[in-house]
Amino acid sequence: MTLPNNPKDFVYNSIHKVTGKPVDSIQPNDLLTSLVTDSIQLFELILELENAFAIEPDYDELVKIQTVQQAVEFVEKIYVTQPTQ
Amino acid sequence: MYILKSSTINNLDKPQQHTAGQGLAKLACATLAQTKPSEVQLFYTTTGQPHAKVKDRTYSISIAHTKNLVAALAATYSKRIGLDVEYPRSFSNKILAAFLNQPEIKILRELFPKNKKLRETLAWSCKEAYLKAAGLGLRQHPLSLNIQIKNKTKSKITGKILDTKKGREAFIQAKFTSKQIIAISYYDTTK
Repeated sequence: MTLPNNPKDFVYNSIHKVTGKPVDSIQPNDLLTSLVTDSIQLFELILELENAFAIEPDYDELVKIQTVQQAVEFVEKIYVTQPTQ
Repeated sequence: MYILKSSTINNLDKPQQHTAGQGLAKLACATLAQTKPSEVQLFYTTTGQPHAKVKDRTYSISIAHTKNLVAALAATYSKRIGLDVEYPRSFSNKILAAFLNQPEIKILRELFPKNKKLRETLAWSCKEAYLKAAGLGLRQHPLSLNIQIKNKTKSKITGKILDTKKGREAFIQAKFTSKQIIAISYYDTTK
């Protein structure tokens, strides 16, 4: 997947890729667990966020993310500190 | 332990599936405790793991649901239990490598040479059942768990899961058909 230029687009597109939900239906306060159908999809979403970066982010930090907005903030932090693939 | 399964529900959304699961959990716990479901109170830990209380006695419970299938399990509190239900599905190589190590993939291929969807979903289900028993969910990486299958029949496997992060061993048991998998994991907190 080609990374878009900003973390918000990346997160929203990742959610769309895994769940099929239209990007414009996703809200910042949505819980990630409410957007996926099951734990397998949640794991796929975690992998999408994890695999985008040159250095794997800490899994323990990734799984603390609960909402879409938290995912965006997490990716923003990583974008600042390391290059992406 | 007491397990209840319902596949007579159709077209429930996720919140409805969860509510149905809670109802089954109360029924399973009530049967175990020899009381009425109305006497069973459900509560959740801070990590989201469900438990049940009947008067002053606490019970372990686990709830699992997927489309058109809901199941619940209850046990005495000294056992930590986890339950998962799945329909066999395909996994990409990327996802497979993210939750199964090479020795596990090899053993599963040997045990289930002809049914890729079944063997891969079975492995996921067993790991998911353990993570629920441990109250961890996906907060712990599935690759930290090693599946050891000790016995296999046409419709059932039994074995162990080794949690390399917690230094713990748990039992796993799964019943399967080509269309459905129900996996249970449990360990005794007194041992």
